[in-house]
Amino acid sequence: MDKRIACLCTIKPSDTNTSHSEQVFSIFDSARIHNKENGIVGAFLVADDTLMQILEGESSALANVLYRVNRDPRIADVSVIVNINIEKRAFSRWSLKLLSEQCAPHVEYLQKVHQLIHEDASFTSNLDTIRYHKIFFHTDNTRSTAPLENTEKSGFEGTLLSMTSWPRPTQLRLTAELMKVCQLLIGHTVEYQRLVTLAIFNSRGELDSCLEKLQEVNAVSVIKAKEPNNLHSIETHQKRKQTSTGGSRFSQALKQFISGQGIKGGHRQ
Amino acid sequence: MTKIYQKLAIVGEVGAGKTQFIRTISEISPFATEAKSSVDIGKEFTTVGIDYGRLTLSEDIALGLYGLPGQKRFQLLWDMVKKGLWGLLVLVKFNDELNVKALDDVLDHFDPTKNQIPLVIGLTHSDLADTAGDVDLFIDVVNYALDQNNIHAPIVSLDPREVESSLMILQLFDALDHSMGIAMEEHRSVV
Ligand SMILES: Nc1nc2c(ncn2[C@@H]2O[C@H](COP(=O)(O)OP(=O)(O)OP(=O)(O)O)[C@@H](O)[C@H]2O)c(=O)[nH]1
Ligand SMILES: Cc1cc2nc3c(=O)[nH]c(=O)nc-3n(C[C@H](O)[C@H](O)[C@H](O)COP(=O)(O)O)c2cc1C
Ligand SMILES: [Mg+2]
Repeated sequence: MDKRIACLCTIKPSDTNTSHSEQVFSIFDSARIHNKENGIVGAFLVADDTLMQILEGESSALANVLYRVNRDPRIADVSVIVNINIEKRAFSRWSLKLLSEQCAPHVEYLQKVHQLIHEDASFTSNLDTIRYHKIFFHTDNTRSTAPLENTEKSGFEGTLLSMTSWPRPTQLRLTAELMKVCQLLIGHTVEYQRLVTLAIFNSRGELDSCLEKLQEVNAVSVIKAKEPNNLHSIETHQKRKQTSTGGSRFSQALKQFISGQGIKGGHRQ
Repeated sequence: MTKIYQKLAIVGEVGAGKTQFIRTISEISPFATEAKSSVDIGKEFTTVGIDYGRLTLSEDIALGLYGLPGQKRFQLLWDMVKKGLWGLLVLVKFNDELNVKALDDVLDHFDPTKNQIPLVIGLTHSDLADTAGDVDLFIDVVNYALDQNNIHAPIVSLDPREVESSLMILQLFDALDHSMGIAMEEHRSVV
């Protein structure tokens, strides 16, 4: 009979020189190897120092995992919050999700996992409740702003755009155009109008289609600008029409060469 | 007109595809004979030292490609090409190992944010992954390492054996260079 177990624990700060990330990876790595060998699947969710492992497998194999986890010197306060028999496994592999970066696919994934376990979860301490919330509702300010619903034609007019991280290759194939936009938006909040005046593209349509692509995969946050705007980006400096820093001759030569090679994405001027 | 010579550093662990990438691009260089002679055609061998290739764009414009081993003990080589880079391509080989430490060292050394070097992480060998999920997991790991280093950089799947895929990388660097120029200008006007 297969079981599903969810356990919460706290990752201890390491006493040696290893960083938090190395600590997380070393724990994940030993879990990964052990679980692979024992046919255990599930998820390894990390938010800061809180770790939730959801494990599915044979009950004896899971017992063995719990034994190991409890003895692991890198981990403290182990608590099992779900322990049920299951007919069918919900996970197909053992995967690691690091939630600190809060990217959109993770949010979706978390919702699914939450759906899966919340009815069966029981908490015996306050600490469990806190840690559980940390994993599932670890909200991020940039995302809590309501995204603009259904943008019509030129719907980006009057919006502020920002990105927190690069879209991943499995989400979206990066083109040179997308890359330019991302580079400008990541870590910044920029007015749509500003992007238009920078004239990175030949047409506004090209810019819009880039932004739409990013919006489709939830990579960009689009919010309506409030009336009095204290963002610096509002004033437009017309002077910088010129392209990149001195490298424009090089850039020109490279573009010419690449388009001569017949590469699809080759952007012609 | 003045000569323009830009440098692209390609750093990555053993077998990541550095030599392959440089060979692929050098072979399509219009002045191929000249380029070929300087390329280390290392086949299955690990390259000792620096791989060098060149993409000649015109009589006075060229892009130098410098392949550098990813381990920290080769820092001396890193220093040799570090100055005035047009781009830094870090090749990460898709496999079972979660070797984040090496990535940390490279990022630490080149400090692309501070030095304003456009950075792209090229994920190679992802064609060998069983499922897209496996690739996704691996990207998680790389992303996390970048996060820890406070770095935002695009991760791009790349097959260094293919011309189109390799040239795409150059195109991306060009795009990054372009918008980095704009971003810097923006900054200056604000401060
Ligand atoms: N299947 C596949 N093979 C690749 C890929 N990238 C490189 N290779 C192959 O992997 C092998 C090793 O690549 P190299 O270019 O020699 O690797 P390197 O980074 O120079 O390695 P060192 O010199 O040992 O540090 C070569 O046979 C390449 O053709 C890829 O994306 N997929
Ligand atoms: C077409 C061309 C090819 C070049 N090839 C090389 C080369 O193979 N190796 C190299 O170290 N420098 C090469 N250079 C760079 C020049 O020799 C010279 O070092 C450079 O333009 C000035 O760089 P610096 O600012 O580092 O002194 C090349 C330059 C051009 C324009
Ligand atoms: Mg090599």
